[in-house]
Amino acid sequence: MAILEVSNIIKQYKQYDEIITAVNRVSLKVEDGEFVAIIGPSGSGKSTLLHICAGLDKPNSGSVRIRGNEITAMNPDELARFRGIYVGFIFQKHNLIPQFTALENILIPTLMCNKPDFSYEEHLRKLVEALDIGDRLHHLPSELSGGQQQRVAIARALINRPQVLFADEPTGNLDRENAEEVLRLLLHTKELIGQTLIMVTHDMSIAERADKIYKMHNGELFLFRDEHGYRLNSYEDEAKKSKL
Amino acid sequence: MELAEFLNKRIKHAVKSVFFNRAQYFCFFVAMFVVEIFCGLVVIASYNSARLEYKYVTERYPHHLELRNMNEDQYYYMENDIYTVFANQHIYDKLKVESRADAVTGEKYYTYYIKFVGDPDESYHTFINRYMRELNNLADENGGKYDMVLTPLFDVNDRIAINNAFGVLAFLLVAALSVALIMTLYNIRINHYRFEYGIYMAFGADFRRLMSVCVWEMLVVSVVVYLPSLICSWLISFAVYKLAGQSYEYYPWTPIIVLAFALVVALLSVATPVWRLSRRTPRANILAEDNSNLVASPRISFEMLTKTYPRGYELITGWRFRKYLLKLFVTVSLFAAAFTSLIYATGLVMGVNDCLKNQFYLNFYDDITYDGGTEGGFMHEELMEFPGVTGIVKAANVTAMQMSSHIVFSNKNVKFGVPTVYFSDTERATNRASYNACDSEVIESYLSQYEIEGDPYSALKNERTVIVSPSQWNFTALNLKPGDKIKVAKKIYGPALQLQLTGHKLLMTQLDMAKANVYKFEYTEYTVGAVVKNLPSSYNIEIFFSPEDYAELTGTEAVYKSIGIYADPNLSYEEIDALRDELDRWGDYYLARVSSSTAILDRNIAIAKRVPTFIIAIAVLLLAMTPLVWFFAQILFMFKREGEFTVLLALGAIMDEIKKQCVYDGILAAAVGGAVNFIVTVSANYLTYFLANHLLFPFMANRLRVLFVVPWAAVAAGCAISILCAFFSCVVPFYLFKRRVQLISVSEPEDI
Repeated sequence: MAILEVSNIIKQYKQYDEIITAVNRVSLKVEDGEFVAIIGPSGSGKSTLLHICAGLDKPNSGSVRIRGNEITAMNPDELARFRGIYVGFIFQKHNLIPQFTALENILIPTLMCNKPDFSYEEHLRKLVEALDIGDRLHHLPSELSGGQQQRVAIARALINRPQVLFADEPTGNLDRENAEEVLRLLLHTKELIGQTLIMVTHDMSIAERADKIYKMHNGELFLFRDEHGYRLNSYEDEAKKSKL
Repeated sequence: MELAEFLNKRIKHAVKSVFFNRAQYFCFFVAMFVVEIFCGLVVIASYNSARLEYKYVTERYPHHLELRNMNEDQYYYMENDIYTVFANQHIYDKLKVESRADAVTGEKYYTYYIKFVGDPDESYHTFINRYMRELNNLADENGGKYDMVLTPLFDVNDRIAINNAFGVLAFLLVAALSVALIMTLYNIRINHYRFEYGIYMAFGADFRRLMSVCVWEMLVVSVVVYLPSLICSWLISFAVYKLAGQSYEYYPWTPIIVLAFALVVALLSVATPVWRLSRRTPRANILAEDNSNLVASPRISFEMLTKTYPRGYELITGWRFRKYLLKLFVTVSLFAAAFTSLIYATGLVMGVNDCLKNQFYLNFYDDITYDGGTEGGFMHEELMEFPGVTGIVKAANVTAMQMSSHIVFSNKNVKFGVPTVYFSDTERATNRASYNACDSEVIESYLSQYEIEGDPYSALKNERTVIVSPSQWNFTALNLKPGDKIKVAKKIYGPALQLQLTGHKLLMTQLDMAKANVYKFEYTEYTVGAVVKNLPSSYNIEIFFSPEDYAELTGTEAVYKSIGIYADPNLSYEEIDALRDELDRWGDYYLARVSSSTAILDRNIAIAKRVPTFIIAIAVLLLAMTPLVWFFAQILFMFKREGEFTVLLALGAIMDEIKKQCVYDGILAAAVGGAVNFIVTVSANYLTYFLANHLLFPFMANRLRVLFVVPWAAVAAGCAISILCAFFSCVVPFYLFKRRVQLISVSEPEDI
């Protein structure tokens, strides 16, 4: 069953007199429990697509459905509440709030969704254990390393047990070792919660671990590798290159 | 979630946010402190105003009713009050009885001072039903000198209610100013720190949750400054009353009202900014932070290489942020404008307090009329000799509508928007006019209080010359100047119209009937000798004629059966009572009945309330907020530009050039900010004048009219503060940057 259905998304920006199409007629279907990676060069529109899929941004046209709910038709308040329940998001730059400790940052989604302590205490314990940040919980973000910050960001994204987790280059600012560790943790927690993971990455070695890989180029999305491991060559530029 | 857990989480979250970002929140601490002082001052001032109103009234008038100048029959009737003596239906206490002998006949007259028992309204009605008819029957012929006067004590509750209504109005005004102040600051803050709220939104915060986060933060700020602001408001109000020698009481509910006020202001102030924030997508809010370091676009940064650096570059940057800067200039100017408007309003309030009102009235009965004209008038001289009498005012008038008349004037004299009737191709007419008799005494004692263009005495010296106050409802209706001509119509014949017509419809009907020869008017041309600029006006244009012209036009001599007497406002109540006795004796000789008003009491109460001082205190506090807004906005703005400065340094600019750039920015901000401030301030002053003069004063019991003046000292103070703040708010952050220069790094824009 498709947990995420994206159809015909277009996102354009106006810059001076120029219209830039960041996402151009993108359609995508992600099955429940899948791990999907989106790769592509800088400026190809993958972050924008991820933000739109997660309901953090609005497309100019097209629709996004999560669990059958059309989020593009929701008003900002309905969408915010929906995000709180169904969606988790890991930002490339962690985006931890500097005045709060790691624990307080992790608990922000529970506060925003008004969840009582008992509803997440056990889950929090498991997350902290899995992410190995138990001894850093009462430190401010400025007192944590990049890897630790990203783990806190992951815990924050997972605390409400979202059904879909969107990760925008979660390993982009980390070294190889830390990147591997974060990916391992993401896959572990994915299994723990049984969720769908959609990740934007530059790193092919990380993308290879996904069930499906999509590639983005000039705002357009192509299936790069399917769940059976077949590399699909529908990507126009690739085709041109192969002809040459 | 349990309440305790809920509160604990919210408060902890808010306290951490506020104290971690205390530099950002510093201006909110100051602003909330001032806002709570505003509220405290208004609450305490309102309470003390009501208290002083009651105190002054009860001290001066311990009784509800005066039965003045009763003859002996009336006196004995009241002394042997059958209801009290035989039926024990006791509705009043007799506080005292005064008697005096008539200066001419020697007859004794008595004055009864009555205080009602129980509800004054009910007792008064019972009193009227029981005693009125008999007292009137026993009165001398035509009522004699007998008079029944209700004192201010009777409607003291209404006075206090009016006082409280003004208090509520002031409270609402202060609330609006407070919300404007906090909202302005919150808007600035939220625009610079959207990132944090974008994160909250990404994790499920809808408008309600965001509001909750922001309101709790503001509540923390409110609570921290609560006690100091209460103490300050107490100290200021205590000083205001005590320095003026007034008694003072602290209103015990003030702390609770101030707390509630702070909560409401916090709620209202953050609602709009948060609403706008919540309508943006979380991504837009998060990226606003990430990309904001590069304040000059790549294109401008590139083009700057061909421009004069740093002046040209800074001008380009200023132009690029014109919307932000203009918004800031206008916003800050509004506070300076509110300051000057309040100072202007203080002048208006003082004008209302100082406005001359008649303390006594003399009503002549039988055939006697006031003979006070300077040509042989003896009453004027006698009255003016009484100690404390400062002026005499008299009036004899008739409206144009009453005598089926109208005035005609040239088209070019009509101001836009004034309803008039077409009379001919070049002339228009109106019957919204009042004809007044005028002699030198009217000019000296009445018209001389106002600004007059031309020679008012020309109306007495020359034939067919008039003084005109060409305004309606305090608006100038006709552009008349000395030397202009107007025609006044006098009805020669024509039926009295039974139609329910008034104003220009009546006049149009009359003019139509004149064309059909059913009506006939005779027109006399008058020269405008003088124009009164600021005479308070209602429906009618006032025209003052010489006694001869008045008699010729109206067909009746100008008789003055009633005159008003101005008394020195500094008289004590004992002196006022003594003057009243003198006037009573004078009235015995000239068959005039004396009545008194509460003019001096009202003035004393108004002065005791110290309203102008409180307005000035609030105005000064408001002006003190101007630098706060300037520096808060500009420091945050310049803080965002630090990345840009670092890039410029990396490209080879030296620190002095960056400094120059900030100085140019400061000069630009000071020049534009000062100009915007001046325009906004003068406009706001005019608006205050317009609202007070045209929408408030014409409807007051004692009409008042003021001319528009700009309080230049206040405007200069506001502009000076704006110019200085505009300049230094650009330069000071540079030095902060210089200190931090080692720590600054440039953020990269996020990948789309």
